[in-house]
Amino acid sequence: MRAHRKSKSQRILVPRGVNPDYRDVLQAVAGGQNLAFELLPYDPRAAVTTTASLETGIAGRTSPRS
Amino acid sequence: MSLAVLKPPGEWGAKGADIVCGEGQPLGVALSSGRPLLRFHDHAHGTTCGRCPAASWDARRLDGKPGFTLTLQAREQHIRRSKATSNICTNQGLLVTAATIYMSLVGPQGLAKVASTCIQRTAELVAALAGVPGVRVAFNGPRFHEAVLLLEPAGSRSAPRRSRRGASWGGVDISRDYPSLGNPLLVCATETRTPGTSPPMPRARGRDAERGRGLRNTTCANS
Repeated sequence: MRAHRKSKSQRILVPRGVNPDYRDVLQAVAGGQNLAFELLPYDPRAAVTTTASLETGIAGRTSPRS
Repeated sequence: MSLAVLKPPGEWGAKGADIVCGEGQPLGVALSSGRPLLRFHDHAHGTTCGRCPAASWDARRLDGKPGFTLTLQAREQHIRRSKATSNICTNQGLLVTAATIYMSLVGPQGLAKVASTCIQRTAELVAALAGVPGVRVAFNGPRFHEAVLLLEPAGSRSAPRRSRRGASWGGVDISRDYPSLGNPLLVCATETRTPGTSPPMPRARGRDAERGRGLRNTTCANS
Protein backbone atom coordinates (compact mmCIF):
# COMPACT_ATOMS: atom_id res chain seq x y z
CA MET A 1 0.00 0.00 0.00
CA ARG A 2 2.91 2.33 0.66
CA ALA A 3 4.34 1.68 -2.80
CA HIS A 4 0.93 2.19 -4.35
CA ARG A 5 0.63 5.57 -2.72
CA LYS A 6 3.77 6.73 -4.50
CA SER A 7 3.44 4.99 -7.85
CA LYS A 8 -0.31 5.44 -8.28
CA SER A 9 -0.44 1.95 -9.77
CA GLN A 10 -3.85 0.35 -9.68
CA ARG A 11 -2.65 -3.26 -9.66
CA ILE A 12 -1.63 -5.50 -6.79
CA LEU A 13 -0.43 -9.04 -7.47
CA VAL A 14 -1.57 -11.70 -5.03
CA PRO A 15 -0.53 -15.37 -5.22
CA ARG A 16 -3.51 -17.64 -5.85
CA GLY A 17 -2.30 -19.95 -3.11
CA VAL A 18 -2.68 -17.35 -0.35
CA ASN A 19 -5.35 -18.31 2.16
CA PRO A 20 -8.72 -17.12 0.74
CA ASP A 21 -9.57 -15.58 4.11
CA TYR A 22 -6.45 -13.45 3.92
CA ARG A 23 -7.37 -12.43 0.39
CA ASP A 24 -10.78 -11.38 1.66
CA VAL A 25 -9.03 -9.22 4.25
CA LEU A 26 -7.05 -7.57 1.46
CA GLN A 27 -10.27 -6.83 -0.35
CA ALA A 28 -11.87 -5.43 2.79
CA VAL A 29 -8.91 -3.22 3.65
CA ALA A 30 -7.97 -1.93 0.21
CA GLY A 31 -10.93 -2.72 -2.03
CA GLY A 32 -12.40 0.72 -1.49
CA GLN A 33 -9.37 2.36 -3.08
CA ASN A 34 -10.24 1.19 -6.59
CA LEU A 35 -7.32 -1.22 -6.75
CA ALA A 36 -7.28 -4.31 -8.92
CA PHE A 37 -6.15 -7.47 -7.16
CA GLU A 38 -4.72 -9.80 -9.78
CA LEU A 39 -4.21 -13.41 -8.79
CA LEU A 40 -0.97 -15.11 -9.76
CA PRO A 41 -1.49 -18.75 -10.73
CA TYR A 42 0.40 -21.44 -8.87
CA ASP A 43 2.29 -24.40 -10.21
CA PRO A 44 -0.39 -27.13 -10.46
CA ARG A 45 2.08 -29.80 -9.35
CA ALA A 46 3.70 -28.15 -6.36
CA ALA A 47 1.18 -25.41 -5.44
CA VAL A 48 3.92 -22.80 -5.28
CA THR A 49 4.08 -19.47 -7.07
CA THR A 50 6.90 -19.65 -9.56
CA THR A 51 9.22 -16.79 -10.49
CA ALA A 52 7.96 -17.15 -14.07
CA SER A 53 4.42 -16.52 -12.89
CA LEU A 54 5.60 -13.53 -10.88
CA GLU A 55 7.53 -12.07 -13.81
CA THR A 56 4.53 -12.48 -16.08
CA GLY A 57 2.42 -10.59 -13.58
CA ILE A 58 5.05 -7.89 -13.15
CA ALA A 59 5.21 -7.42 -16.92
CA GLY A 60 2.28 -5.09 -16.47
CA ARG A 61 2.75 -1.90 -14.51
CA THR A 62 2.74 -2.57 -10.80
CA SER A 63 3.87 -0.63 -7.81
CA PRO A 64 7.69 -0.64 -7.99
CA ARG A 65 9.94 -1.56 -5.11
CA SER A 66 10.74 1.36 -2.90
CA MET B 1 6.64 -19.76 12.87
CA SER B 2 7.97 -21.01 9.53
CA LEU B 3 10.50 -18.18 9.54
CA ALA B 4 12.33 -20.05 12.29
CA VAL B 5 13.61 -22.50 9.67
CA LEU B 6 13.54 -20.34 6.55
CA LYS B 7 16.15 -17.89 5.36
CA PRO B 8 15.44 -14.43 6.85
CA PRO B 9 13.29 -12.30 4.50
CA GLY B 10 15.99 -9.64 4.53
CA GLU B 11 18.18 -12.08 2.59
CA TRP B 12 15.57 -13.01 -0.02
CA GLY B 13 16.53 -12.10 -3.57
CA ALA B 14 19.09 -9.48 -4.46
CA LYS B 15 17.82 -6.79 -2.10
CA GLY B 16 15.75 -8.67 0.41
CA ALA B 17 12.07 -8.19 1.18
CA ASP B 18 10.90 -4.62 1.69
CA ILE B 19 8.00 -5.46 3.97
CA VAL B 20 7.42 -8.51 6.14
CA CYS B 21 4.19 -9.28 7.93
CA GLY B 22 2.74 -12.36 9.48
CA GLU B 23 0.45 -13.90 12.03
CA GLY B 24 1.68 -14.13 15.59
CA GLN B 25 -1.08 -16.24 17.09
CA PRO B 26 1.15 -19.35 17.33
CA LEU B 27 3.48 -17.37 19.60
CA GLY B 28 1.73 -18.24 22.80
CA VAL B 29 -1.56 -16.44 22.08
CA ALA B 30 -4.52 -18.57 23.04
CA LEU B 31 -7.60 -18.43 20.87
CA SER B 32 -10.79 -17.28 22.53
CA SER B 33 -13.88 -17.32 20.33
CA GLY B 34 -11.56 -16.82 17.38
CA ARG B 35 -9.88 -13.75 18.86
CA PRO B 36 -7.88 -11.83 19.81
CA LEU B 37 -5.09 -12.24 17.29
CA LEU B 38 -1.65 -10.79 16.91
CA ARG B 39 0.23 -9.77 13.84
CA PHE B 40 3.81 -8.68 13.29
CA HIS B 41 4.91 -6.19 10.72
CA ASP B 42 8.33 -4.92 9.78
CA HIS B 43 9.57 -2.81 6.92
CA ALA B 44 13.03 -1.89 5.80
CA HIS B 45 12.34 1.49 4.28
CA GLY B 46 10.24 4.51 5.01
CA THR B 47 7.19 4.59 7.19
CA THR B 48 3.80 2.97 7.20
CA CYS B 49 0.46 4.59 7.63
CA GLY B 50 -0.78 5.26 11.13
CA ARG B 51 -4.32 4.23 10.40
CA CYS B 52 -6.20 2.31 7.77
CA PRO B 53 -9.98 2.62 7.59
CA ALA B 54 -12.06 -0.07 5.94
CA ALA B 55 -15.65 -0.54 4.90
CA SER B 56 -17.80 -3.60 4.52
CA TRP B 57 -21.34 -4.16 3.38
CA ASP B 58 -23.59 -6.46 5.34
CA ALA B 59 -26.18 -7.90 3.01
CA ARG B 60 -28.09 -9.78 5.69
CA ARG B 61 -28.48 -7.45 8.64
CA LEU B 62 -28.06 -3.95 7.28
CA ASP B 63 -29.66 -4.28 3.85
CA GLY B 64 -26.37 -3.62 2.13
CA LYS B 65 -25.57 -0.53 4.12
CA PRO B 66 -21.86 0.08 4.70
CA GLY B 67 -20.15 -0.27 8.02
CA PHE B 68 -16.82 1.37 8.77
CA THR B 69 -13.98 0.49 11.08
CA LEU B 70 -10.32 1.22 11.62
CA THR B 71 -8.65 -2.05 10.69
CA LEU B 72 -5.25 -0.64 11.55
CA GLN B 73 -4.34 1.97 14.08
CA ALA B 74 -0.89 2.24 15.51
CA ARG B 75 -2.21 3.68 18.73
CA GLU B 76 -5.46 4.64 20.34
CA GLN B 77 -6.51 7.83 18.59
CA HIS B 78 -9.87 8.70 19.98
CA ILE B 79 -9.15 9.06 23.65
CA ARG B 80 -10.98 12.35 23.82
CA ARG B 81 -14.05 10.92 22.21
CA SER B 82 -17.09 12.22 24.06
CA LYS B 83 -14.69 13.33 26.79
CA ALA B 84 -14.48 9.78 28.05
CA THR B 85 -12.96 9.40 31.49
CA SER B 86 -11.53 6.02 30.65
CA ASN B 87 -10.08 4.45 27.55
CA ILE B 88 -11.40 0.97 26.95
CA CYS B 89 -10.08 -0.79 23.89
CA THR B 90 -8.55 -4.06 22.81
CA ASN B 91 -5.56 -4.69 25.00
CA GLN B 92 -2.81 -5.25 22.49
CA GLY B 93 -0.33 -5.05 25.32
CA LEU B 94 -1.60 -8.34 26.71
CA LEU B 95 -0.89 -10.11 23.43
CA VAL B 96 2.52 -8.51 23.10
CA THR B 97 3.36 -9.63 26.62
CA ALA B 98 2.18 -13.18 25.95
CA ALA B 99 4.20 -13.40 22.72
CA THR B 100 7.27 -11.90 24.40
CA ILE B 101 7.10 -14.41 27.25
CA TYR B 102 6.61 -17.28 24.83
CA MET B 103 9.54 -16.30 22.62
CA SER B 104 11.75 -15.65 25.65
CA LEU B 105 11.02 -19.08 27.09
CA VAL B 106 11.30 -20.98 23.82
CA GLY B 107 14.23 -19.08 22.32
CA PRO B 108 15.58 -19.26 18.77
CA GLN B 109 16.45 -22.94 18.99
CA GLY B 110 13.08 -23.74 20.49
CA LEU B 111 11.27 -21.89 17.71
CA ALA B 112 13.24 -23.86 15.14
CA LYS B 113 12.30 -27.06 16.98
CA VAL B 114 8.62 -26.12 16.97
CA ALA B 115 8.79 -25.38 13.25
CA SER B 116 10.57 -28.66 12.55
CA THR B 117 7.98 -30.51 14.61
CA CYS B 118 5.21 -28.96 12.51
CA ILE B 119 6.90 -30.14 9.34
CA GLN B 120 7.45 -33.63 10.73
CA ARG B 121 3.92 -34.08 12.06
CA THR B 122 2.44 -32.82 8.81
CA ALA B 123 4.54 -35.31 6.87
CA GLU B 124 3.34 -38.11 9.16
CA LEU B 125 -0.26 -36.99 8.82
CA VAL B 126 -0.11 -36.79 5.06
CA ALA B 127 1.61 -40.16 4.79
CA ALA B 128 -1.04 -41.79 6.95
CA LEU B 129 -4.00 -40.23 5.16
CA ALA B 130 -2.57 -40.90 1.73
CA GLY B 131 -2.92 -44.58 2.57
CA VAL B 132 -6.69 -44.32 2.89
CA PRO B 133 -8.50 -45.60 -0.21
CA GLY B 134 -10.08 -42.75 -2.10
CA VAL B 135 -7.66 -40.16 -0.73
CA ARG B 136 -4.66 -38.77 -2.52
CA VAL B 137 -2.29 -35.85 -2.00
CA ALA B 138 -2.95 -32.90 -4.30
CA PHE B 139 0.52 -31.36 -4.50
CA ASN B 140 4.07 -32.58 -4.16
CA GLY B 141 5.72 -29.27 -3.31
CA PRO B 142 7.28 -28.32 0.02
CA ARG B 143 4.83 -27.78 2.86
CA PHE B 144 4.96 -26.48 6.40
CA HIS B 145 1.93 -27.53 8.38
CA GLU B 146 -0.86 -27.68 5.83
CA ALA B 147 -1.60 -30.04 2.98
CA VAL B 148 -4.39 -30.42 0.45
CA LEU B 149 -5.95 -33.84 0.01
CA LEU B 150 -8.25 -34.83 -2.82
CA LEU B 151 -11.22 -37.03 -1.95
CA GLU B 152 -12.54 -39.27 -4.66
CA PRO B 153 -14.87 -39.39 -6.39
CA ALA B 154 -14.74 -35.68 -7.08
CA GLY B 155 -18.51 -35.33 -6.87
CA SER B 156 -18.78 -36.33 -3.22
CA ARG B 157 -19.03 -33.77 -0.45
CA SER B 158 -18.54 -33.99 3.27
CA ALA B 159 -18.79 -31.23 5.81
CA PRO B 160 -15.78 -30.88 8.10
CA ARG B 161 -16.63 -32.44 11.41
CA ARG B 162 -15.19 -32.58 14.85
CA SER B 163 -13.57 -35.79 15.91
CA ARG B 164 -14.97 -38.01 18.61
CA ARG B 165 -12.47 -36.64 21.07
CA GLY B 166 -13.48 -33.11 20.25
CA ALA B 167 -9.84 -32.14 19.83
CA SER B 168 -9.53 -31.96 16.10
CA TRP B 169 -11.36 -31.10 12.93
CA GLY B 170 -11.70 -33.25 9.89
CA GLY B 171 -10.19 -30.62 7.65
CA VAL B 172 -11.49 -27.60 5.78
CA ASP B 173 -13.43 -27.94 2.54
CA ILE B 174 -11.80 -25.47 0.13
CA SER B 175 -13.71 -26.53 -2.98
CA ARG B 176 -15.53 -23.21 -3.17
CA ASP B 177 -12.27 -21.28 -3.40
CA TYR B 178 -10.52 -23.80 -5.64
CA PRO B 179 -13.26 -25.48 -7.71
CA SER B 180 -10.80 -26.80 -10.27
CA LEU B 181 -9.42 -29.20 -7.67
CA GLY B 182 -12.65 -31.16 -7.46
CA ASN B 183 -13.16 -32.23 -3.85
CA PRO B 184 -10.20 -30.82 -1.93
CA LEU B 185 -9.74 -30.96 1.83
CA LEU B 186 -7.19 -28.83 3.67
CA VAL B 187 -5.65 -30.57 6.65
CA CYS B 188 -3.11 -29.31 9.10
CA ALA B 189 -0.84 -30.55 11.85
CA THR B 190 0.95 -28.45 14.43
CA GLU B 191 3.19 -28.92 17.43
CA THR B 192 0.19 -28.69 19.77
CA ARG B 193 -0.91 -32.28 19.14
CA THR B 194 1.35 -35.19 19.78
CA PRO B 195 0.93 -38.56 18.12
CA GLY B 196 -0.18 -39.87 21.52
CA THR B 197 -3.02 -37.39 21.93
CA SER B 198 -4.22 -37.14 18.35
CA PRO B 199 -2.76 -39.89 16.23
CA PRO B 200 -3.31 -39.52 12.51
CA MET B 201 -4.96 -42.90 12.22
CA PRO B 202 -7.36 -43.22 9.33
CA ARG B 203 -10.10 -45.64 10.24
CA ALA B 204 -12.48 -45.79 7.37
CA ARG B 205 -12.25 -47.73 4.19
CA GLY B 206 -14.13 -47.76 0.95
CA ARG B 207 -17.21 -45.58 0.82
CA ASP B 208 -16.47 -44.04 4.21
CA ALA B 209 -13.23 -42.73 2.83
CA GLU B 210 -15.07 -41.26 -0.12
CA ARG B 211 -17.18 -39.32 2.32
CA GLY B 212 -14.18 -38.08 4.24
CA ARG B 213 -14.99 -40.13 7.31
CA GLY B 214 -11.54 -41.58 7.32
CA LEU B 215 -10.09 -38.20 8.28
CA ARG B 216 -11.23 -38.04 11.86
CA ASN B 217 -7.93 -37.41 13.49
CA THR B 218 -6.60 -34.61 11.39
CA THR B 219 -5.87 -31.38 13.18
CA CYS B 220 -6.09 -27.79 12.17
CA ALA B 221 -3.96 -24.82 13.11
CA ASN B 222 -6.54 -23.38 15.43
CA SER B 223 -7.33 -26.53 17.32
